[in-house]
Amino acid sequence: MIQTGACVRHRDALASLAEGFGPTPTGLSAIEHLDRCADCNRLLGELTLTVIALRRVGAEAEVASRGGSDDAWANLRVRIERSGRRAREQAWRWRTTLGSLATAGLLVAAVVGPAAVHLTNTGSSEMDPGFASALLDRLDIQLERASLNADRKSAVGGLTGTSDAVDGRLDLPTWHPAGEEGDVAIPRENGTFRRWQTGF
Amino acid sequence: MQADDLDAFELFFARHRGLILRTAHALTGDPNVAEEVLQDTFVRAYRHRASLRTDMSPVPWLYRVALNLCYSRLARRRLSEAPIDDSTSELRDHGLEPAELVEREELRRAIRRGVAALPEKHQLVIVLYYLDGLSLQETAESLGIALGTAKSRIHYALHSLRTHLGDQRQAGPADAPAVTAPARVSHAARRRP
Repeated sequence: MIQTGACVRHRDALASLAEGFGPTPTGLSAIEHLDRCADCNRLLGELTLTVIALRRVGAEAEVASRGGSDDAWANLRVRIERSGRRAREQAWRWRTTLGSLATAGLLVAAVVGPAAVHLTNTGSSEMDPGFASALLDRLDIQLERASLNADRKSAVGGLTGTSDAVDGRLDLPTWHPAGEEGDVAIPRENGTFRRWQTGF
Repeated sequence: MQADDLDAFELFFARHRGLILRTAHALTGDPNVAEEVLQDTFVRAYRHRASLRTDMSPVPWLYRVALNLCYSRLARRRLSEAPIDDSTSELRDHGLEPAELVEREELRRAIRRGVAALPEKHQLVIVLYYLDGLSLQETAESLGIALGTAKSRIHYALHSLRTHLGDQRQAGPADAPAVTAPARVSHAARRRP
């Protein structure tokens, strides 16, 4: 289709004519143009067919949809209520999951937090007191503390007589040979005496 | 309709139901699918009722959703290959000749593909004005545009459709491209956060 400038100028007017929007000044000049242009005549025919096809499909749909379903609203209401219930259930599921995660996070913070704070305050570790390093440091401290406890227990046990190195019982001999100068007779509870050497 | 007021939503449904159902019928040609599209459109409308802008007509949004649902179902189900039972029942109910039935389906398919190939704003004008039979004034008001704008969009869409239908006639129905879903729902009608 060869289109001149006049054809392009009348494009919208042809669509209006096909649609039946009514004569306008541009529409009247388009009609004059149609007398001289076969291409625009063909274009007008095709546009008119397009309009007819659209209107026909619309009219058929209007007839087909006229009855409709009587219980459309009842069905829709059921679906809306069901979807609302499902949405509420999903929301609760999310809340429960988030709550569990938050609790777990708090527990971890309660376990790791003091160690991290201690390390940060004392500066005993050059590591960044992050989660993993703080946890490892805390484990180190516990192991060190356990080792020190074992050493201390061992030392105290020695002093109380369990060690072979030192005998903590300072028992003195009960009898000295009798009849020597300087002996002291010590009365016993059962009325007898025993001798005790003063040694000086 | 912002609150959980089903009674208000029932009024909203009653007001827009007819046109949405008609559009779905026009594009799918299947009463069952049209009912499904109607239901799904309004379920989505209810779900998104809080985000719909109150200062704009909900019609463009509703139509956009309905068109997307129609085209997604068409692409999925391939309605052109409808069961024989449906065709025979239509013949029995409406007294149609087989040739007429085939011609009707061909025409609907061509229109469907032509509308799908249009830009979104032209699709809506064509659907409201031709398929739903609204007046030019009603179409412009429903879309919230000026009368002249509606008219020029109709002109543009008519020329595009004519070209598309002409191409389809030359290519034949077997070579016609498959129906694809148009652009997704525009968020223009949704409330800005």
